[in-house]
Amino acid sequence: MPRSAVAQLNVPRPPREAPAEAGLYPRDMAGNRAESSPPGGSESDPDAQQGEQRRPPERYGPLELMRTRKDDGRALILYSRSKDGT
Amino acid sequence: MSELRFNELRDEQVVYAIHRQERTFLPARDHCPLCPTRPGGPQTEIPFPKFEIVVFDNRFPAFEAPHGAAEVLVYTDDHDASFATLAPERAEALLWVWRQRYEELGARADIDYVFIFENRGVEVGVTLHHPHGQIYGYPFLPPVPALELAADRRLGGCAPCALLRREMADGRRVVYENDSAVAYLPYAARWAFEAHVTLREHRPSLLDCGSDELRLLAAALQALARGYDSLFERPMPYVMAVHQAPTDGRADGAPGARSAAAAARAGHLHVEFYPPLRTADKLKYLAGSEQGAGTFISDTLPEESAVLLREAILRAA
Repeated sequence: MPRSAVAQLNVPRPPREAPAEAGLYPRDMAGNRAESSPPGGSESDPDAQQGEQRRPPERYGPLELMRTRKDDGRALILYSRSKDGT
Repeated sequence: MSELRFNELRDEQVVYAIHRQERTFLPARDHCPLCPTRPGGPQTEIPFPKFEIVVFDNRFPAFEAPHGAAEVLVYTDDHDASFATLAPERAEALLWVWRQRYEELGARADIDYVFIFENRGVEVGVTLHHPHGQIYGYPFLPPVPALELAADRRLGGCAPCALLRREMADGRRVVYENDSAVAYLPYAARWAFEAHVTLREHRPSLLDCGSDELRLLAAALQALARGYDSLFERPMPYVMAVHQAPTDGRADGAPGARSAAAAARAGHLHVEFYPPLRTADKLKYLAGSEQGAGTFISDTLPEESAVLLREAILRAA
């Protein structure tokens, strides 16, 4: 596909009209499922502002998890072997 | 945001994630976005000077909340490592990370199937060489795991368990085994050196595995990966696909088809490897018969490939 065509696809598009024939095109992703928060909290989470703000470490099996967020809001988890070796 | 369209002729979903067209493509080594952010160096995806294992939301996701998830899983801060060369303790830790992500993503209402995989090598479309895998949380049950569940129904029980019994009884295609896991080339492998690593006991997912099983599964996966690299004395490109039980509370994608408890027992954790090389310098392409008719044509027999791969695993041990 030529790049110009891709650029056109990236132009914000108006909301789609409801399909004339239910169940054909387009089908919304995941239908009407209940929404859920992404791992590590929601955008309103006070810990979700900057990567420097982290939560206390969690344990999972032999691992220690440190949840944080990148500057653009994406979740990031650091995993390390727990220091007590368990 | 991606768009999902249903292909009526193929009876399958197609994901349109056109923002991925602009994703980072084979950057120079000193601009690897999966390396740590070192003092004085460029800012990478990981704002720490060193790390062990990291998972973060994909900057160019195929799926994202509230319609699924797409995560990047970085195995190490060593740019030149690979899954095969990780220390055994790191590989074991990686499986615990797989387990944790399966549990957390699988608990989300918008995710029906958690798929952990690694694409290795430009031959299978890798765009970043730093050792890493990916995790997709699908908002639907994809066709391949759905077919595996259909095989369970067709065989009247767990298909991977039945196939493992058949392979162990035959023995010709088994290339590695330990107390918990067995690696074999399937009787009807699609790829010349396709291999499956299956737990001896019925374990629907990583959540059902004990510590020893995770350690031994990691050992089996690494033995196979090292054998692949030894086979042609070059880094073997592959797709590594972790298949586990669906997390949607249904066994076959049909609403109310089975109880959540039944679905939780459906599926059998196993890891499939699809290496596209059929010789040291020849790729198997998906051409007319594979793409147009859906039928693989193989130039090799799994029994003969298994002899070569078994020897390579022993050499690499």
